[in-house]
Amino acid sequence: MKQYIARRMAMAVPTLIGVSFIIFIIMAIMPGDVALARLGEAANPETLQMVRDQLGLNDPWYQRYGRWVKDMITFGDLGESVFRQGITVASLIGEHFPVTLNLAVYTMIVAVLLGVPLGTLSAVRHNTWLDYFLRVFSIVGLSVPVFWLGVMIILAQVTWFNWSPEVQWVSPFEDFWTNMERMFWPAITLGYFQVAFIARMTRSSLLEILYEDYMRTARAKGLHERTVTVRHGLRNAVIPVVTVGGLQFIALLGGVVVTEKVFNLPGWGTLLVAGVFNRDYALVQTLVFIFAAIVIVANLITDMLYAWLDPRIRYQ
Amino acid sequence: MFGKFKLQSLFTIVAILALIVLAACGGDTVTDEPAAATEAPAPQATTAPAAAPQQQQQAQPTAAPQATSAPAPQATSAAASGQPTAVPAPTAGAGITATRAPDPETGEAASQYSEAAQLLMEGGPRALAEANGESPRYGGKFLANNWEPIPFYDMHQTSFGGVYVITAPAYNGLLATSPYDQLAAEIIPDLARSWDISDGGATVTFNLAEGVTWHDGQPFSAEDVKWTIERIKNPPEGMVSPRQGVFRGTVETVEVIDPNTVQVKSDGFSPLLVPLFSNGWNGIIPKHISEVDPVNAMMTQVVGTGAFRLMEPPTTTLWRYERNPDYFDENLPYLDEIEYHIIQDPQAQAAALKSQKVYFNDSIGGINFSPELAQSVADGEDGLSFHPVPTITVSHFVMNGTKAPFDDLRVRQAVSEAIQREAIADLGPQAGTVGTGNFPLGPWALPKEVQESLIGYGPDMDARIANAKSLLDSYESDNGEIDWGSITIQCSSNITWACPNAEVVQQLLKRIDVEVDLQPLDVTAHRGNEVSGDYHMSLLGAGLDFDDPIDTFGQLYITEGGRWYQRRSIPELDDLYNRQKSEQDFEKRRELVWEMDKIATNDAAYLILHWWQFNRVQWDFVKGLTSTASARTTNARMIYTWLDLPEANRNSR
Repeated sequence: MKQYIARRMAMAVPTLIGVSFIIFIIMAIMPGDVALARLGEAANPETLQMVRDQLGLNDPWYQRYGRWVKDMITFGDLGESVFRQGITVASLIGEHFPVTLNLAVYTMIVAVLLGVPLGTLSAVRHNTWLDYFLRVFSIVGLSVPVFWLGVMIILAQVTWFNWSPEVQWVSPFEDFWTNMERMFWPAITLGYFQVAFIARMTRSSLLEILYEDYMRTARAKGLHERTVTVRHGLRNAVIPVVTVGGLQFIALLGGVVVTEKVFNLPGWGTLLVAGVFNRDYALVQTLVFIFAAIVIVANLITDMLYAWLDPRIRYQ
Repeated sequence: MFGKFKLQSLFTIVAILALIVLAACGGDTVTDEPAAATEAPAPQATTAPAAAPQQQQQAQPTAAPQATSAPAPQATSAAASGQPTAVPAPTAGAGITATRAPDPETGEAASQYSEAAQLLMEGGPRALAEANGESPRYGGKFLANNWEPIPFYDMHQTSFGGVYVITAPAYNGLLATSPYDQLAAEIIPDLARSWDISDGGATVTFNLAEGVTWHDGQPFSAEDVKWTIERIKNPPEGMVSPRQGVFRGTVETVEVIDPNTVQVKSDGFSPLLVPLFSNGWNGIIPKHISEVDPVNAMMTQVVGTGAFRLMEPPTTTLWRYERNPDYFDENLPYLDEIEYHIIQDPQAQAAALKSQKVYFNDSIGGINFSPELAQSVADGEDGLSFHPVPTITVSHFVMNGTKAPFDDLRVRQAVSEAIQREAIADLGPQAGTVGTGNFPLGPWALPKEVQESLIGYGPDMDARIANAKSLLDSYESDNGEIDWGSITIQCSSNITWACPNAEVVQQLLKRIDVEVDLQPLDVTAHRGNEVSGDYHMSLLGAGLDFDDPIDTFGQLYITEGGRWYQRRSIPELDDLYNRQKSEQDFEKRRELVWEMDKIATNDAAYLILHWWQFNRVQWDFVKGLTSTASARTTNARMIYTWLDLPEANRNSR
């Protein structure tokens, strides 16, 4: 197992180098200009040239790439934002990270706490009205786009109650209820898709297992049905759920961008979108690189969890 | 509080679920209510934006004082109809000409000071407020909204409205404009408590307030004023100064007479010499900080003499100001605090506005709100009003005069004739007033009959189409058929109105058998192409500082002007421009200006589709903060802003 992890981590290095190249190339060929984004509408050729020179945008590509890689691997301030004067990429990422982490944690809590029980309930009571309702609930969750649901929730709250969440994010350690008030709806919006996905996975996985021989044996031993379902059934049914759940966490990162934008949350998603619009190359490259690294790590953790949950699986 | 939140949450979950299930099943009744919020007001907003706010204002007792702001109803109704109003008297314009014009009835020489300035000088800020029917309260926290990201804090190095608006509360200028004047032309004192004009309007001596300190405790003096003006006019190497041109064209020398007196000279009479210093962007910065690193020091620091000072370093989403306890005018400001929330998404702004998380949608007029959104936000909400504001900002359609076939006058004129300007407001997502190169609601506007005689403005659309076709035929018989398939209209895909407006133009051009494709680009790439000339046809816009031909024509039409995107040099126009600059007689100057306007309009390279309407939504309890035609209004400093809320005190702090 240790060897497997080491090998996977070693493989991650060329992957990340490749990713860094791709990100750099995409940002380099993208039309638009950070100099113009900084100067505003009254820019002229001379002032644009001046700002480009100041920002080093007229340097050859390998110098720009080298500068960025150096900023990354020294693990210092990750370089300076080319859009926001005097602010380092590290401080921008640090300022926005708690919001995204907060949203991701709440979303995963919603997804796991609701998805697995609802899927289990649906499987155990399959072909009943409860099962039908939960299946409709899941299909709707998979079909409704995150941005639409977010906008509908905001509209509903504002139209019916003249209520919208606080404009600024507050840490849960500072004021838990205000934080809940701010993050509840974004977490529900982002979590609904995850809940639906996990519920459907759990249901289909559990349905396959419920009629296995070992389940019948467990029942024949006189075990309580709840024990049979949870201990013997769910433990085995949850293995593919964890695998897919890991991949869903990766998909969640995409949803974070949309959800943060809709709910005006100052997290990494909002930062990334603003960075793209402002052509903040240093920031966008670094942030996308971090997202890529998170995907690689999430994949690795999923594989490890898979092995831990199913002792039959061993990596060579 | 959490109980209410829980109840709301529960209800909303149930409602959303019901809505989703019904929607999935094809139900349509439940969707009516949310949809109405965004869809219903559309026809009203685009065709008659002025009517609704007027009705709302009448319904609000607190709105009564605004009746004194006379230009508003005229301006908004004109915006709605798409027709300019009658040309106002010269006193409505910017500049010395305006403030010194004799009284038309008595013939007596008017004071060099505006009425608002005299009120302030004689009775203080309360007199100004009371003259406008307001009785300010002290205290309260103003919750404001800004929609642009802030790259740095030096307003002198950018034309970003967001940077100006969010840093403005920390600064003063030499002069300001009345917070109640919707044209932002009525000049009032700021750091300069009085000023004397001499040498036939070529010299202005500013008498500065005494005992003024910077937010870091250092004393303010005339040296700071001199440093600021010279830094904008002659920026150090590496500094970008977008307003350098107008300063170079207006200011010859700056001389410190004594620590409280500074003298600015022009090389002759200049109508912009005084108004230049009432432009909000020209705030005075501290020499002792700026001179340490003239290019970068102010990029990362906000230290002014302003009525508000930063409470903490700003974040990317929040700027918090508190009242400056050492402000030189002890009667100001009225507010205790300002919180600026940076909310970029219009829908999120709308939600925050309706729930009073912010009190208005933007300091410079809700630039990213469509009329429909603004109207829908205000609809059905007591005390929340939509203020459509005509502005000195244009939506333009430019043809590159250096590229065939637009290097030929006939083709440009044909395109201009085919574009029915009124259709932009009627069919596109942006409202505005049809006009030529001069702001159609200001003192320089062309008379309607003159305007209608120009290319692209005739009232008979059939005749215009026939003329356009004939012009194209003439060109094609000389030069062969134009390959319109190789020509595109560039527009900005991330500016809400740009590409929809371009679609309207695209359809209008089909009436003269011109079929061109749109080329949507990100605004940064698009503007870059306009600047570098890498385009054939382009639809975007341009913000201007003053309703004065020195600025409007200086930016849009003269050779190598600030927005000379069309790259068409017209020596005759350049000559007229230079002549009108030094003409002191208003009527004579206006004749020259109208001549320029006719030449530029008939040359048809830089077409003005319309002069924008900003769509501001504001709670009625916000007072002393008028939307103005100029996006560079000093109102963004919020010195005179007050909140008519119970928690604010009536007469004392």
